Amino acid sequence: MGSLNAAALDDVVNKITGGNNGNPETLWWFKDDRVGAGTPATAVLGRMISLWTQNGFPGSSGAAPGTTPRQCTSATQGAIPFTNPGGGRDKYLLGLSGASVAQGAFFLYDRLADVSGLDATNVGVQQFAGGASLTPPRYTSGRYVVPFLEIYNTVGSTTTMQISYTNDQGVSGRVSTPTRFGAAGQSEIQRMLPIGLAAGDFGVQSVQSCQLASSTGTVGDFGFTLARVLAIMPALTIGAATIRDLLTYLTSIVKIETSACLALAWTSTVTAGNAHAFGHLQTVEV
Amino acid sequence: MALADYATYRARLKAPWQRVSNAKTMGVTVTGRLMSQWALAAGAGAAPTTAVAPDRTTVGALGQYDSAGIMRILGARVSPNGSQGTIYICDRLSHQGGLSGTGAGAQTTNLPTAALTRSTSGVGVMLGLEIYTAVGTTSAVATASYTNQSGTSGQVSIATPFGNTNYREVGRMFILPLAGSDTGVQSVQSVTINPSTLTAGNFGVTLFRPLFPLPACLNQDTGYLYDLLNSGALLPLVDAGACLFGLSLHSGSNQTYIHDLLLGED
Repeated sequence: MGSLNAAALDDVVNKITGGNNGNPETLWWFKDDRVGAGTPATAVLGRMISLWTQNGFPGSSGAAPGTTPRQCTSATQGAIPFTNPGGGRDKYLLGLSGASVAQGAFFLYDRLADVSGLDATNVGVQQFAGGASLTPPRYTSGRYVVPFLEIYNTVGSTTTMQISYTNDQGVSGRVSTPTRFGAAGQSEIQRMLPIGLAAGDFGVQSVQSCQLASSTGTVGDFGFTLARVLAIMPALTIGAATIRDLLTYLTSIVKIETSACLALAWTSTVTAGNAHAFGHLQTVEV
Repeated sequence: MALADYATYRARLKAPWQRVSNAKTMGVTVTGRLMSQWALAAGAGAAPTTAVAPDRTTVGALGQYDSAGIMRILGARVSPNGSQGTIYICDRLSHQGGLSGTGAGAQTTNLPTAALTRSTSGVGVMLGLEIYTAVGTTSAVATASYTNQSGTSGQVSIATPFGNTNYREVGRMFILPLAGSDTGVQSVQSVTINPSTLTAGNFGVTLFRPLFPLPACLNQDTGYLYDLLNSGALLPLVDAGACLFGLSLHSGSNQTYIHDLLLGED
């Protein structure tokens, strides 16, 4: 495992210009305002939108994962692909940018695992196919692994939902706080809703099932995504990119795990439009 | 050869090997949508016809000198006069024109695109459609048949909106989403518009690779200075012969951008 002496700018300059096996990599990404052949979700002020299924570059959009829990990697369609570090080195994110047709904030995260195909009218305990659990292949301790509810096909009216999970201490049978979903702003495709954990929990090692308090009236299609948030990029002005320099500004440089499934989410400051966006990630090996 | 240390970087930045300046006056822009600066004064490039691989001598390029060694962008300045936005400095790798907004079926006029002379693997090369004369007001979608970064031909891009408001204007640049897990484009064989936008206009394929974002977050004539090391640690290489040009995003119209690029050698 390498190390980065951030105080030694000499080392940084040398590595980011290709010296000493720095292997700098610039990953440009673009998101079109289409989901497949259709229009994406209209942004709602303060509500997170998953850009996973939105068409873009590189590659095509990601798809709904299906009823069998899936562990995601850099090879999963929809991920921003990158070159794994070699020679026992680690890969770090030093900077990133993002610009959009609206003001808001981008969230760069490692999409660890996902599942879909759940029924928003079923009020029984819903397990995943084969009774399998949703587990992350990275950050396996579960610490700061955040579960999200992700909508792939519009659901109906308001209800709440709770998941049963194993927390970051390995304690099973934990139950999340009720998460509201359904109705305007929380029922549309691409909505990505964070799930509140039980008191004292700092993440999840696995998710076993979920249960709705009541039917939303529309089957729709929803599922769960386990994510580790890596960086947040504010887009302060329409069209004007924000460049985040993690080397000299807060929060700090971020390690990108080998085979991470890099993905984006978006929160808008206006209720209008959608995320038509352009940006980049800058990495180095140490 | 990499920069040895911070002192070398500072020395190169303080005394850049060359400074490339440019001023562009945007006409009508589409808020929040990519626009190409290629055909804008000053130093306007021509709308291409036959397929060519432009370089630094092509009229419209920023026109930097080549280095005998490795050259990269170390710093930049941008002054907006109008409203906020971002200029993306890109290397224009291959372009053609003469495609029609009314063409039925797969259009092959002036295609396939000229072979890449830089970024020849195609990795990270984006596929753009660039409008030189406005197309029609009927909503359509555009797709392209291309060869990807692995040399696999017959790939078809994901349909993207084309024609009608926000998708027909002169200067608009559309990045086409690629198929599957493709990470770039080596060449384009055809473009399909469906249905007709009802106005032929003139548009073409532009293959390009973005290098650096140059944001201007407030309308300030005094401008923004970027020390690229402290702006996300992106010190992009400028390939020999690169045809540098700008793509831009805007929050308004009729802006003038003045920008300088500071180029240094490793």
